[in-house]
Formats: sequence, structure tokens, C-alpha cells
Amino acid sequence: MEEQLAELAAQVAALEGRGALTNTMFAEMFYYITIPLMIIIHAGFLAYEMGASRAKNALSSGVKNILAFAFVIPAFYFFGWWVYWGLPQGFSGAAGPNGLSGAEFANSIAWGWGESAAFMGPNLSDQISGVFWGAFTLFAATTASIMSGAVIERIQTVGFVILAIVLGGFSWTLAAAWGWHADGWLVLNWGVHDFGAAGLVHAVAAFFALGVLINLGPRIGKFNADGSANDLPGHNMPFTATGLMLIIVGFWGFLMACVVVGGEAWSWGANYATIYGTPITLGALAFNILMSIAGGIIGAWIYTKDPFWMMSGALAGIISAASGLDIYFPALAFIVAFGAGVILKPCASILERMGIDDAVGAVTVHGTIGIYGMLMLGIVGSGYPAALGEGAATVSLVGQLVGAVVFIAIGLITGYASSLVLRMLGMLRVPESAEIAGLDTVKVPAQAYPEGIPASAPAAE
Amino acid sequence: MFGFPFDNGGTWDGVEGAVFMGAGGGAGTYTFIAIAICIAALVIGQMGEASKYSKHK
Repeated sequence: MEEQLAELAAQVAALEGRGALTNTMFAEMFYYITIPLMIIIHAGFLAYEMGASRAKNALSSGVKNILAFAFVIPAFYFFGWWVYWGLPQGFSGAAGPNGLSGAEFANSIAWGWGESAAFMGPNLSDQISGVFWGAFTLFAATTASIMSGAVIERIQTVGFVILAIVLGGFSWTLAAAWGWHADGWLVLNWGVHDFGAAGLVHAVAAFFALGVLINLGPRIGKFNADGSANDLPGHNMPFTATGLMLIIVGFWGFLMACVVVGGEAWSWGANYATIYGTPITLGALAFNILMSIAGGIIGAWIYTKDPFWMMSGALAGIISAASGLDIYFPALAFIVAFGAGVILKPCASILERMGIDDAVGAVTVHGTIGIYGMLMLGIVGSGYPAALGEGAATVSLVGQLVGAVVFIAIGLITGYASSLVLRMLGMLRVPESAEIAGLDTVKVPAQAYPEGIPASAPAAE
Repeated sequence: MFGFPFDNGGTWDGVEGAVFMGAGGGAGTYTFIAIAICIAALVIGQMGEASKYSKHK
């Protein structure tokens, strides 16, 4: 009998071990999959930007976008990851109440040298750091791509890459540390809730872009002497619209990566949670992302009938509901997104009347709508606990407003300051003659359409 | 219709089941508003489309 009991106990222990290993492998795979899904966002931004450029700048816009992706990755490895873990309590680097933050904690896990390097490279005892870092790196790269579209056709390549490094490595990461971390002061003190990063990714990137646009100035020919604006259409609208659809595909990975898998030592509990530790299901994402895409498209269609703005409306729909995708009722997400689709074009027109040449509407789609989404959640989601446990701050309009103001300030100040320095160094804007000639012919050793776009050969009989 | 649908001291402790805004009553209102928006969008869209076709009759 005792032998049978011992054998049974051994079998149970073996089963528990296999179950735990399966969960660990699932968790690792969960984040691993989000990385290529998010790279689809960049395929989309690449197509979107190149299509939105005039033919003479198509490839240079592509070069700029590809380089931003390439440089943000090592920047986030070198220092961005440290910012996220080190600064949730502010620039003091103090540790937060959950013991997951502060300079000392970050020093132990987020530098690529010393003892912390064990967590920054292949490690058979650590199946989460690499994939979690990878997902966050793609968030960082997304911020750079958001900014990238706004500044096409007149920004210098290296100057732009430096801006991408500042934004992807520092600006958005600081916002994430403060408002997207269980120890973040905006979460603990103000109940800021931004599940899908409407504010801390989209709005930060968009207002960073706005700060850059102020120093960069409009493209030649965009505005007339009387201040009225001219349309400078891109050379390939179908390419742009398809790119937008790819961005939307990739955002499924982005929002999936905002979920914390359960059942691991680093998890919030046995089941899925938001990054704040509050409960969520993937079903919530399926319901609300789809309904918000639909609402955004329909809202933009009603107002514009333009495929560019309709697909931008899809993106705006997701962004408008992103803060509360975990708790919205699907029909409510649709209503909020519909509103975003309707206001999209008028908001972009207001920006244009202010003399800002945002070539792809990035400031409006990501910035204005990101802030709209944060505030809408403050109104309809007021009272939801922003974190786990008793005494947690609750979601409120005031709290969301504070979060929005902080995110705007982080983006705008860092974008304006860094681009001002580049302008003073002569590294921001291309020379006027180069802009008129077209940047492809000036600096890209390849031709976008060497045969033009000729009619194809006749069909075989 | 708005806000946290549980009266348990503003905590997630012990919360189970539907957690969306309007859970337990009121969610249907959102659904009917969304349906109305879709119908209105189709009506407005058709009016706009018809006006475009009117030049081609």
C-alpha cells in the first residue's frame, strides 16, 4: 500500500511538473508570437508611408522607416528596457510598492553588462525576459513608425533616426513606466487606465511628432502665402490603404502583448491579467477590437467617403477604445469608435489650418484620438479599480485627464527639444533644392519605378 | 450603464462573470444605439450615393 501511494505521489508530481512546463512554454510562445504579428505593423507603416509620398520620395520614405525600426531595437536593448523598470516612481529611481521597479531593480535585470546581463541574453532558467523584452521593443518601434509618417518628404535621414531613438528608447518608455506599470505613479495615485496604450504609445508618439513638425516646418508647396493649404497627394493610394489594413492586422499582436499570461512566478495569478494586474480575457479583445474597427470605419465613411480616411478610421476606432478594451461592452466600444471616425477628418483639418503639415494625419489619428479614447474611458469607465487589492485608485475622468496631460507633455517636450537641437546642428531638414528635386534621386541608389507603371503585355491566346 | 457594475467597495476581489460597463442591466441600451447608428449610416450613405447618381440619369 505504501509503495502504491509513493508511486502515485511520484506520478502526480511528474504530472504537475509537465503541467508547469507546458504553461511556461505557452507563456513564452504567447509573447513570441506577438513579435512577428507586430512586425506586420511595420510592413503596414512601410507601405503606408511610401504610398503617401510623392513618387520622387517613395524610396527615401521607405529607407527612413526601415532605419527607424533597425535603430530603435538596439536602443531599447541598450537603455529603453532600463527606463521602463527603473523609473515608474519618477526620476528618483525609487522602488515601488509592488517591488517590481526602481533603479536598483532595473540595474539587476535590464543592463546588457554585469550580472544583469544574465537576463538580457539566452538563459535556460529564464523563458520570459527575452520574449517580453521583444514585445516591448516592438511597442517602441511602433512609436517611431507613428512619428515617421508625419515628417516624410523633407526630413534628414540621420536626424530622423536620432529622433526615433529618443522617442522609442526614452519618451514612450517613460510614459509606460509611469502609466503602464503596476508601480507607476500615475496608476497608483491617479488610477490611470490605458490598457491598450492609446495615450502612452499613440498619443506620446503623435505629440512627439507634433513637437518635431513645429521645428521641421511644412513641405514646400503645402501652404500658400495667404495660409491656405494645398493637397499634396501621395503617389499610390491603394498602397497606402493596404498598408493601413496591415497595421490593423498587426495591432492584434500589439494588443495581445498587452496581456499578462497567468500561472507563472511573474504572473498576477492563475489567469490572464492586464499589465496592471486587473482581470481580462482574450474574448474581451476579440469582441471590442472588431467592434471598434467597424465603428471607426463607418464613422469615417459617413463623413468623408474617402478610403484613406476610412482605413484611418479603422485605426482610430481601435485607438479610441484601446484604453478600455478589457472592460468595454462591445456595442459601447462601437459607439466610442464611431465618434472617433466622425471627428477624425475635422480634427485633421483644424491642425492643417494651424499651419502644421502632418503628411499622413498621424497627429490626429494617434494623438487626438488617443486622448479622446483616454477621456472617454474616464467618463464611461469611472469607478473601475485601476489595480488589484483593496484601496486601489479607481478610474476617473480627472485621473485620465491627468494621465493625458502628462503623456502629451512627455511627447511634445521631448519631441520639440530634440528636434530643436537637431535643427540648430543643421541635421533636421533637407536643403530646399534637394526637396524640390526629390529625395530618391538625391540619395537613394535605387529607382522606385524604373519602367514607370506601364500597361502589361497582352494576354496569351 | 456607466462605471463599475459591482458594489463591493471598489475592488476586483471576488468579482466573477461579466465585468463590462452595463453588466447586469443597461448593456442592451448600447446595443440598440449601435444598431441605430448602423441603420442611420446606411440611410445617410444611400442618400449621398443617390445624389451622385442623379447626375447620370
